[in-house]
Amino acid sequence: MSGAFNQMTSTLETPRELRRRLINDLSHELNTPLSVIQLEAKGLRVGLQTPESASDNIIQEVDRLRGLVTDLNWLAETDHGELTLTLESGSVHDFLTERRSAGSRSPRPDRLNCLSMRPLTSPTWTWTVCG
Amino acid sequence: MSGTILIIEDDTRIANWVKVYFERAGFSAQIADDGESGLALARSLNPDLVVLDLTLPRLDGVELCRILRRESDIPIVMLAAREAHADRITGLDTGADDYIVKPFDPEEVIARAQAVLRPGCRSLRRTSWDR
Repeated sequence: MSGAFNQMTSTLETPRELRRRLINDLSHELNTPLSVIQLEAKGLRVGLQTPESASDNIIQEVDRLRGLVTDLNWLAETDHGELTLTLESGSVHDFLTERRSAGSRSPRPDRLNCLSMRPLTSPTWTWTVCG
Repeated sequence: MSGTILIIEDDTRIANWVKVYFERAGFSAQIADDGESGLALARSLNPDLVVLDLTLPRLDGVELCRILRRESDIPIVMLAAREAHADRITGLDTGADDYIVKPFDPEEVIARAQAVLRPGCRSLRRTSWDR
């Protein structure tokens, strides 16, 4: 009985804990580029930064924020069931090699590809790909 | 005002900007980019004040603050992306002397650090690393 109660409590706590962690991580990810933008702008105003460096760094941080917004939109799509999830089997090595080369071509992947993985029979794995 | 400041912050751009403002105000400053190296540097440097990021790799800011507080009365100013009331309470309960939310005005960080360092704020400073 107590075991079942603990398991139920744990099941209820997990989404809450995940949500708390998501909000904390999101807050950190948003505040870091905002901090850099504020520091660059302030540095420019008090003469500690050149206009060229400040504008380069601010543009870089705005790109980072834009990437976060893209990720959040993607997350909202998964919540609304607007995203197609496809179960595929394949080689983990090939998958990671492909993602690594895609990552080296552009600074940010346009989609998060690997959601979950579980072993079937070695060395074949299955994972859920979205896109 | 003079003294040695240890900045423990994993984002090098933010850390460098904070360092610039402390040096401009007459302090000397050093940077550690993760919790473990921050702790090691705090023990060897015995700084006059620690500026501590809350979200750090290897050893998080809350745990690091607890350790520093167990070992010394060195003033700690927390820099945190989390602005919830509960997070501020946790930061101060852990032993921080002040809690500043990102994004922040660097001149406010200096002003608050100077306030914490003002004679009388910590008249009985104690450390187990005294040289």
